[in-house]
Amino acid sequence: MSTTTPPTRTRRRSITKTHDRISQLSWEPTYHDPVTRYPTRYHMPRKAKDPMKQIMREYLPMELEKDERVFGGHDAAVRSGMAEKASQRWLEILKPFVQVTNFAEVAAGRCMSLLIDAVPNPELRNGYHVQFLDEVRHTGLQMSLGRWYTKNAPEPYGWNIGAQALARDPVTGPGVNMLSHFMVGDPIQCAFTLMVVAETAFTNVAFVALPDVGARNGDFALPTTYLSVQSDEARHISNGYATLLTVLQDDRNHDLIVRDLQQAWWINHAFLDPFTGAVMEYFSEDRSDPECYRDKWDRWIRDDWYRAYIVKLGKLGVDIPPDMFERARKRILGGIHHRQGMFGFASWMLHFWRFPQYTETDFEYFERNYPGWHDEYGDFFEAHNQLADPREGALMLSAFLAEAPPLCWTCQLPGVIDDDITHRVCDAHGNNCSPSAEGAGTRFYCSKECQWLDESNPGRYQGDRQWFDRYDGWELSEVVRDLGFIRPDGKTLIGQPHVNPDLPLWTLEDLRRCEVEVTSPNRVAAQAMGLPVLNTSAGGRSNADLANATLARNGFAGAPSPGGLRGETALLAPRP
Amino acid sequence: MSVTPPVHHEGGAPTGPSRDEARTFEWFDPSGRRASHYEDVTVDTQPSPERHLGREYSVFFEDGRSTWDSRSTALRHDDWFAFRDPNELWERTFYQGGASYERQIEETIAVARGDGQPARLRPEWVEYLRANLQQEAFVEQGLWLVLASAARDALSDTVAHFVVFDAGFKQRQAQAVVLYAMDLEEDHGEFPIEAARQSWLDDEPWQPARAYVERLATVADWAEVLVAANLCLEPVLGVLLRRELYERGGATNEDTVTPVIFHAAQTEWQKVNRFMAALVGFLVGHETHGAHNREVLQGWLDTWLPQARAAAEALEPLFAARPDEPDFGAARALVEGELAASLEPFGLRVDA
Repeated sequence: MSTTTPPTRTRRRSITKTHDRISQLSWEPTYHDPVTRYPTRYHMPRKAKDPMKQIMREYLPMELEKDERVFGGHDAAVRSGMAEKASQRWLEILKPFVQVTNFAEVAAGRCMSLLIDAVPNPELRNGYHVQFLDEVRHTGLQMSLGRWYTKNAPEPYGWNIGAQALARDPVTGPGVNMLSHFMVGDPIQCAFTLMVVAETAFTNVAFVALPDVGARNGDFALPTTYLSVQSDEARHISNGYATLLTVLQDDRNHDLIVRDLQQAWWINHAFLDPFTGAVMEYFSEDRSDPECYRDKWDRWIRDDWYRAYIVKLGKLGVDIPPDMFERARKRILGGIHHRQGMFGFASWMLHFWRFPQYTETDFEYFERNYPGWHDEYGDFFEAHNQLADPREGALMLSAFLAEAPPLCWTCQLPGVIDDDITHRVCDAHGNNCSPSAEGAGTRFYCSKECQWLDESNPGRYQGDRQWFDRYDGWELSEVVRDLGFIRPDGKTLIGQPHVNPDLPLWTLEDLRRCEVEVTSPNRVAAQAMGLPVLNTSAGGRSNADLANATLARNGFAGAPSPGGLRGETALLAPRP
Repeated sequence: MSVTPPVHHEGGAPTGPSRDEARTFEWFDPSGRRASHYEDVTVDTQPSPERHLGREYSVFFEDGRSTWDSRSTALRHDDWFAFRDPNELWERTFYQGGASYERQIEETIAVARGDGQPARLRPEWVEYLRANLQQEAFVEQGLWLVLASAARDALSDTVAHFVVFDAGFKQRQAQAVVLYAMDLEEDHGEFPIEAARQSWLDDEPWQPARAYVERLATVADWAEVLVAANLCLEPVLGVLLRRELYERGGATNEDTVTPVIFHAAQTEWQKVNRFMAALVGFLVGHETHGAHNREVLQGWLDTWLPQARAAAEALEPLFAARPDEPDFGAARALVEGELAASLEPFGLRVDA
């Protein structure tokens, strides 16, 4: 008989002790100075704290277990016929939602590499890389969810072209723009935009509150997936806080922190508030939710983030002026997501999902939560209902384009609050100039804050940024054909102004009969004001040559590595 | 009790053209008859003007660099998104693999302990491990750092995701060695990481390897990092350490655990090796850029291989000190032969 002791797990190790050991693996290089490709303006103190203390032996099985639950949930959703039972209106808006959030994960992952390159602290780098793995996990989960809907949703059109449509659509394209701020710019500013603002403030709304709305609409595949994603976000929030605390140690960073946090806040707000608010409220068929978007915003963003986090930074010596936060809330109270929602509905044919007609239940919901809503927006949605049938032969877009506000140069969304719109005349480099100067053009902004972002980040916003300029003068059906938002029969549009099976579907021919010529609101506005029109059609950007020079000087693009021996040319800048 | 969600079913049965034809992602050409799950969750998640963006990237760095920039590498391809990782690794299979290796290690250690094996390890082998084992983790750590950073610029998702996973392999491998040293302490006293660190920083055999990974952190071209790490250092030094020194050394010295630690790492290395072979084939096989890419790759091999070899040669004392005194020359010849055989089909020379 064997006397062998049965195998047991090795004893549980102290996380702190284990982590202390593992942290010894870092060292200060002495043969070659590391060279950063993405320098930061921040002074990086040597001391930092790893907030995650993640060890692969614990991390890998934990994430696998969470994955198994998610994919088990997807299987259960097939067996229960969830896609057929869920609200079709709700499933439609997930087409852009899943694509936008997935790009957020993609950009977030690249942000981690940016930080690993720029931040010399090994304690932070460890957490950044684990977060990069998390972000790739989230991409896998969210694309798997999109794949699930493609195969199982009653209406697959739009799902089948999601990644193709993402940047072309005039609503989700600005999402790509905003989310690119996670990975383009000063690495610490990117970290603030991603981790301190988007992940700490907005994921609670987008990945917790919004899945709750999904569940109310009979969709449990989305909550199953996104709540698993959110379980990783807590660690990312810690990464953001640790990054912030690290740069806070050096007084020379304070002004930068104040500036960058405000800018990070604004660019997040400018897109995420109208987008998330419209997704939640304009596509939920279930109206049982006691909280409207404003309530959720107050709970998660004002109370949990702004008051409990940002305001308390004052105790650490960083007072963030409240103005931009208060301005954002004022814009929400002023109806920014209702107005952007109207833009979406008016331009339904330019999107890769269907838009619902509203019922009395919907109108009651909006009026109950936003008193005065019907007086302000009700007529528009009544008209939308009436024009849903292609036999009516009319489009809201005709009237909308005639009076449309210009799109913002920075956030790319329409400037829907009249009093907020600003503009300036500048050259192709973004330098202010006389309207009569050669190459002068007019940049419009939805707000003075977006103008500040453009003016204070030279070179960031360049090139072919104004969606309608490209299609100025085009017949509408040709625009849709160019976008590719057409079903496989080659004539039926993917976007529709209804989800009603009793109504016919719009085709390219129906659009043609409406005889709509697309005009660029930006060009119209500039001309009406006697200002020079911005020429973005050339596609060139003023900083392309600058990039070539920088890259060539620093060893990119074909030049063999110099070897980087101590004292030799640094590629971009020595780290501080 | 109703099992139907409390939802009003607006819409009902869909109408219009057949929906069966739109049940797959249509934005890329699958490599096989049908797209794999890997392809569906990977391809075109990284937008590109050359693919579906429809216009330029919208945001630029202050120095003019684009969101992703083709000038970030000297290699050229007009469709990086056509590349496929032959391992078809995506997040789920990554976690499945990594978790299984870690579980295998944990179980091996538990069974060995149950069998009383750690206490019966030969003293000279234990002392050898105490003196040398953990320095290997510093090589993995150095590679982790540069790979994790290089993933930012990779010009397609199918490349970038694997680079992130490759960095994840390195992090897991480095930590597994340190954790194993902690396990050995239960039976054999201190295995101080501080001593290993000092040895890595000061001892002659490790200095060329340390200089090499430090130099890697000076390279701006992300693809050059991949080549220097995975076509030069890993085949010449990484395999020599993991397989020839420790996996085989453990077996020879009646240690059942050490080979499992390094076997797991070798399993991951073989995925990297397959990935790199596919990537090189993809680049040198390009109709118009193939010759240029071969020239660039050859240049990098010529630059980095001599240093990788110097780093490997410097490890001879570690082989000489191993209790069973393995044939260092034979081990070196073996890995060199494998390297030459792996690159020869692509017209790349290793005679630098």
